[in-house]
Amino acid sequence: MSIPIQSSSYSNSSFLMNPSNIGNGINQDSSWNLVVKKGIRRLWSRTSITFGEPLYNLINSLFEVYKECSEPDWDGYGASPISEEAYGEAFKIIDSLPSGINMPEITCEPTGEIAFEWNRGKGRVFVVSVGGKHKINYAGIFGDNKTHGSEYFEEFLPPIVVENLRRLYSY
Amino acid sequence: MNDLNKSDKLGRYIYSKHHYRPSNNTVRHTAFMPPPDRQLSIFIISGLNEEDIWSIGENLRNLKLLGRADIITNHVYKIELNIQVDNNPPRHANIINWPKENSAIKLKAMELAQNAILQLK
Repeated sequence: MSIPIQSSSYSNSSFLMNPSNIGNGINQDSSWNLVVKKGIRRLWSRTSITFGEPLYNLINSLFEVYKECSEPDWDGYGASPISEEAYGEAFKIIDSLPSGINMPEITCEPTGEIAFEWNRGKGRVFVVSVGGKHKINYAGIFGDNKTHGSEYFEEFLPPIVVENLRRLYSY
Repeated sequence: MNDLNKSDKLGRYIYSKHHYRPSNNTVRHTAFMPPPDRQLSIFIISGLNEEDIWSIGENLRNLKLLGRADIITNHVYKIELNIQVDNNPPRHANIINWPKENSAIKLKAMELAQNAILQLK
């Protein structure tokens, strides 16, 4: 599965390779931003040691999404902006992805949530989203079968989300 | 234009790159997720030539028009959504009857997206 990475002044390698630069361009004074930075640094070290480029690209992609969707009406239809809380929670999703799982694509929803999409072609897609409210919303299409729901989210992916991811890749 | 046939073509104009997948030129569910008032803006594009169809989208927003997602009316009805034509502006309509739960909305948007055809500008 491809992960779209667009080149920009913020997303080049030198920017992300140095964790002390992470967060530049975002609200620097926010205490929440410190939490996000800490999470990025933890993920950055994990990326370099165990997961390599795919996870690195995913973090980069999340940053791009945050930049592009953090203003109101980013879609021309009155979309809500992505909040710092949603951004921080999206890092937690990345941090809690089970090892061996395919990397998702990241996008933003008009509700202000950040969505992770695993797309295996028509009729096989699973999406989870977070909005910084300790809640995961998920929906999936598995051929003729469909599912959706929401779960509390703090540190770990809810089992039903993991189960649906395995379901997506099981056939 | 008030009466719709099941085979009428609807267009959802796209102004954000987060509404489609450039990797395989398909529509993402985000293109069909409604705003908080749960009225998804679309246009009835049956019977128009391509030039006129693009013209509507270009004059609609102060954003660069990137493309549109085309879908047949019947795909909307099949998942128990409805279409309310208001002709304001002409040919404008809203997809309505969305559920309240975010996850249920997401699923319906995913179903619409997988039946939509992406047309890039």
